[in-house]
Amino acid sequence: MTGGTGRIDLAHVGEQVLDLAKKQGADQAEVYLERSSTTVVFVKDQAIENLTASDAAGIGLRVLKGSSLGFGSANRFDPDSLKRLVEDTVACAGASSLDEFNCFAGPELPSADGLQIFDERIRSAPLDAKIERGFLLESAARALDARIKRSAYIVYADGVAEAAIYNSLGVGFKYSLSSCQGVSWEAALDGSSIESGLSEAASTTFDGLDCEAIGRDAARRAIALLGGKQLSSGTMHVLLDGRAAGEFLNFFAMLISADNVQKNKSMLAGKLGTKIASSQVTILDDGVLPGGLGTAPVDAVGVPRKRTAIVEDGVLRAFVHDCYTAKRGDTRSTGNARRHGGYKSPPVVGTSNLYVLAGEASREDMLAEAGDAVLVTSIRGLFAGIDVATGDFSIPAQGILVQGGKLTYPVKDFHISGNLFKMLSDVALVGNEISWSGAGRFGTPDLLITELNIAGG
Amino acid sequence: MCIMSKYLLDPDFGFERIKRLMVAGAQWCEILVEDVASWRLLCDDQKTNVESASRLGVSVYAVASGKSFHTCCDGTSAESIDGITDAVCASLRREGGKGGSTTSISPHEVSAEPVQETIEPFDGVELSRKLDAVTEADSAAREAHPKVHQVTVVYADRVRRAEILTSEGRIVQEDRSMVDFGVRAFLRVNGDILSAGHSFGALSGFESLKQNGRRPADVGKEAARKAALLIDAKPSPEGQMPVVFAPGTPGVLFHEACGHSFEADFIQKGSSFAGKMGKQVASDLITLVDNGHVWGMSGSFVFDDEGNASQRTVLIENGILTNHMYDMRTALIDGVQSTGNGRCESYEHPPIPRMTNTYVENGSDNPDAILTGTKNGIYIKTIARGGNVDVLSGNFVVGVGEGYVIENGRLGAALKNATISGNGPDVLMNIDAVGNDLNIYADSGRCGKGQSVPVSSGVPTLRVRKMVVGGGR
Repeated sequence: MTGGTGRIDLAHVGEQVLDLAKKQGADQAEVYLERSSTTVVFVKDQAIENLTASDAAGIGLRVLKGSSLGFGSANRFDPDSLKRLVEDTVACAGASSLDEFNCFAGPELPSADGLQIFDERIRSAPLDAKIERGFLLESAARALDARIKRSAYIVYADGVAEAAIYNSLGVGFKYSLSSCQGVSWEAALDGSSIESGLSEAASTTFDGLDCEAIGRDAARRAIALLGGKQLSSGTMHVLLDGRAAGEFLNFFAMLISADNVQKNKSMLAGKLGTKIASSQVTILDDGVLPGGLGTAPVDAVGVPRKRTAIVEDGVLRAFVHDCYTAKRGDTRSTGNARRHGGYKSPPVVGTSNLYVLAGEASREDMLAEAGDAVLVTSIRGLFAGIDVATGDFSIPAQGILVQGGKLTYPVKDFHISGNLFKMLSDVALVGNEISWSGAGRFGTPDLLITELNIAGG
Repeated sequence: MCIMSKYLLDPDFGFERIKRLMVAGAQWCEILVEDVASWRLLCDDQKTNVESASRLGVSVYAVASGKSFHTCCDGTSAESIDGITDAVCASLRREGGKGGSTTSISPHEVSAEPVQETIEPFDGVELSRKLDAVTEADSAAREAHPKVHQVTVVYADRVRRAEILTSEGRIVQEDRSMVDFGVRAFLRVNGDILSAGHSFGALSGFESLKQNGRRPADVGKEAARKAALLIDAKPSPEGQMPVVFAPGTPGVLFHEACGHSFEADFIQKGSSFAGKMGKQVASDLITLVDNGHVWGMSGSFVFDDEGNASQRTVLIENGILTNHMYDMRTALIDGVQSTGNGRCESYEHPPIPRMTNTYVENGSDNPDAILTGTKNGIYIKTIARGGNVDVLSGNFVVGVGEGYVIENGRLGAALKNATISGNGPDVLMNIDAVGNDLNIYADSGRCGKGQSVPVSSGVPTLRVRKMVVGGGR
């Protein structure tokens, strides 16, 4: 729509910048280029609240002078801008510390195919159809139950992007990505009781996203909590809903970064090969998961993405690595370099699609096995309530009381507390269906935990 | 190119596009041009990496019938700006905005009192001095305690020139220069890794790193001191109890408990404080203010991202709800003036109602008497690990950084990993003492609401009679 960026030849810019960097005194250089189109629709009361549609393009440059690394980024491609980018980035490298582990990726062709990460329809679908999807996130919730009366945040967003990575060691790779996602955050009102429900989903294909299902799920979550009663304190079986469990996985992702491990910032340092979870638990980082929102042929520096078993039958098997941590740890990169802000951010170690492998138990099996328990459907502010040193946590939660294997009434105003690793060791059953959260990058089935402390109101 | 010496964008060119947007049906619209240059130094594991970034872009934003339309482009080429103007015009026509006035616009430059001075502009500071700053902080943190085994230091400066043209004919230019400096210290004790951070953020030049408490060594030492407190820290008592908040960052309580719920978009969606204007929503000891015009604060600015001057907005006066925080879209819906709270992360995002520097005005209680008058409970000196709120139900949670148990009116053991949580409307009514020692902390904190913007908060010493404390084990 905005003209300009669509005409830029990424490969040509890449070559040009690598060449300029060399002339400016860089020993090695790496160029990451990105061009994207996004549409975001915020909805309120079946009307547009805000519509944002834009195209953007930018360049992230890393250069090595000796073993010193510099990073620079810019959003313009004219010769003056590129020249300034290269000069600034070379100056950055000149000021950075020597670090023998700094390195770029060598050329290695990705082998995975059938990744299902680009759907032309996300680009070509008419704007009206996208706006309609936003409306559906809200209308489906309100149609489900008359008590759904308010919405805090209804948003449909999609984007297509072209990413390219070139470096002076011969890496040259270009690929396309697409994604769409819906978020519905609804509130149910009944007398003086007000409860909210949040649901989200994401897909790499236009048809893979079901906005009606998201709206209905948000509504069900809110309605189920209406009229909640107090819960008495004690130790209980806890059935952790997949979505609530996903927040723990988001925290866990930080602990398995090889960068945090090598710098002694993670409590998992030195724990490779030890049992950190119940034998029921297998956790994978799968950068080539077909249709995964974190899937790509190569990572942010051009290393082929792959599948890595992090925890296998409860035993910690691996950390996620990028080129830097691999060289420092004398191992191979697991293809886990990520740029959190796209071209604006230098690559760091990050998970791709991180998920707990599904088990065989259905929700009904788990309720039956649990007998008397609490089903936790929502937790609030895990990062505020978990101790990064020990994994001890205490967080506000809400859910449904389970008696004799049956769901009874909603419960609220309680904290669940325990220790992340004690909790992982107490996983008795793993559900058969994965819920994805965190824009589709974290997946967890329901987890039945044999005991957690409950602090009632 | 349409760059001129004084302007990022030729006003004649810009207002011509603004007219097109008004003809297409905008009630109000703006063109924002943003030119940002930033430098970031990250010292991790005693190695420093340097990064630079440069961004120039334009956004076109229009409001009609409660709806808003936004798009943006990189750079300032006439072709790109025409492209994004046409896109917004098309949306306006399709969505049938009936604003549509073709009356002439009289361009005029608008100015207001500054909120900062810049004695040492960042672009004149040698990179080596920035390097020295992070190295000094790293060394200070390591020397402050023998068990410190890892330190992370982040220095970031950012110079932003913004130019805004609005459909009222306003031409606004603002140069903002800001710095964030933070240190996190890691200690290893009996196999556990304990860590704590300290940071500040300010509108200033490089000179603020020479001020007392903001010197790199001061920040490094403070981070190590906070981390070392955790060695002998005890699990927090749990359950309902009195909580005393120290002056400064504990003001985040109000950011989460009610601040977001007072943002006009959430009020219009039925937040937990909707429909309560003019009614008592807090203890009568509470006067809560959002003020984007506090000198040097990271949440301050002269003009918001819609070209409206920042202002002091009284949200709660002696317990009575008196105002909300508005951007242009929500102000037009309610038929009121914007309060200057329309903020965006960058030209790539639309402006929405956001807090700035949010704080409770001084009360009359003696701070020491508040503490000694509290038999048992907890004392919160700083907030850490953030917080979050469900604006519809009002339920929120905030993580405690440096905190202590209160025993018989005195501070006891340091606490580890405590949280406070509750329901915003309930907590506000339960405040029973407000001191006279207000401190607004120039925070490096960012508030996330789909977009990230710098904010600060503050309180005088104050006490909530009872709220839920968690985190014990």
